[in-house]
Amino acid sequence: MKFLCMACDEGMRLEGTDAPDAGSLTVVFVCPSCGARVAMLTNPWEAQLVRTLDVKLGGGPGSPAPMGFVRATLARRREDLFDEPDRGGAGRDPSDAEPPHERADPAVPAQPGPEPVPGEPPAGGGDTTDAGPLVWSPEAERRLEHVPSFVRPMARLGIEQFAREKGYREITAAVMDEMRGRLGG
Amino acid sequence: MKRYRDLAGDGGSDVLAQVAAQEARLRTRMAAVRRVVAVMSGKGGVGKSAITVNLAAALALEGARVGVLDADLNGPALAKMLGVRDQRLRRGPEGVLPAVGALGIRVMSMDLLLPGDETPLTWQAPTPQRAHIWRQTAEVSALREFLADTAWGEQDYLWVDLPPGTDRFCDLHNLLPSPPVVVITTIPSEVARLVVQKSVTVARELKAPVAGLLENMAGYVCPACGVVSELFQPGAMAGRLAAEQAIPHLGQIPFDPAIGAAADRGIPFVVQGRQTAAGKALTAAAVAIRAFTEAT
Repeated sequence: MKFLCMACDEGMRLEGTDAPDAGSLTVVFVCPSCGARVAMLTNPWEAQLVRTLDVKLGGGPGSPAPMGFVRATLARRREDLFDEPDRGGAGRDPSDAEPPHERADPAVPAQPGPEPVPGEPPAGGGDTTDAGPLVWSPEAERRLEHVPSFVRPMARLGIEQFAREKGYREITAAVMDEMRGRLGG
Repeated sequence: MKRYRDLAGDGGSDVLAQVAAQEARLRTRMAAVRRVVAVMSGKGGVGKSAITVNLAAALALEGARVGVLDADLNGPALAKMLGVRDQRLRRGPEGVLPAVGALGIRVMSMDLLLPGDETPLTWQAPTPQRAHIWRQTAEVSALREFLADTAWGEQDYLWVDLPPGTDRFCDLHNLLPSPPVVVITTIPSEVARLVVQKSVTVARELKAPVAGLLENMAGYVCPACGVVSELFQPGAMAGRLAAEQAIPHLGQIPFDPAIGAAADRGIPFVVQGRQTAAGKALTAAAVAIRAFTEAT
């Protein structure tokens, strides 16, 4: 959308925007020749259209936050979504993320009982059918990187299977040592 | 009086440059992904998500670096199928860190952003009654962010699980810098066949390379005696359709209740069922798709 000063036959320049007011945007343009100003006042639907396209009248930030559109536009989303920046350095592998937090959803039951400690049997005995998610500690991931790439997926699988059989939720270097001891390595 | 095209720029917002910047972000991210493989089917209920998960896992078992993107924003299932629903998304220096499932598979799904099992995907709108006006555009913006802002890292394959229909494939195709490889799934029924042909047409018109047609639920293997019984129409329907459409036939996946059970547990079926009839068929299809991507 462009604005033309009909008196000067010149394109008008954007002077500024106001914060949305009850869903309406105010965008002010000025003629560079005569200084005449006009304000474009959008209705909420028009403002929503611009927002949905993920563009900003008046120009956007140089480096927008990742998933800024989703974060700002989802009507219902997790309360803690992306709130906590990762504490690792550049290039940190996602596998190094801290153990997952339970989602804030009362419909999803929390894991009962204490966390099993590597090297010790889980309380109540190991559940070999438990196929819930496992978390790899950064050190365990680094050690796995030393395994030749063509057998790494199978090694990962074997360790995860061992951990599940033992009832562990996290794979650490101690778990890997324990498995190696079991195999006589 | 000057007309629209007589005026350079838009006065200061530079909306076109904003759109170009969005495209550049996505292009930069996708440069680290060797191939994007879109799994589609015109028909719902053919087991597309389970096939996506298991094809991805089959290649991960072969040592490939694999990510999966759940493009079914309104019915996301991949986070459950890969056992990552309780992982929380975080920001990292390179973008949003995806969840990590079995075999190190990176996962991004709308399911990871919604607050609860019962929560549908809804977008902010001036009035809820009018939200449908912007829904499609909002979903495309979300899909773009999932592709561009997820820190996928170096990946050999990014698998995209598409919802039923062909419209989301068109969205994906429009967003990506180069056409994705297409895998079309179907089941042995005339209804599915009718609808799936539209997927082939769309892929062909958009000049997306079609790796082939994969038939799911092709018979039921009796766990006791091993005899294969037909679940739907008998005969090699997918083979005929593939021949008619001049696309590769990637095989037939027999129905196996263990596939669904594995999905419920969050573990890809091929991890433990690789030696079953369904596991072998899935692995063979994955290997064929890999060969196709390497040849194109």
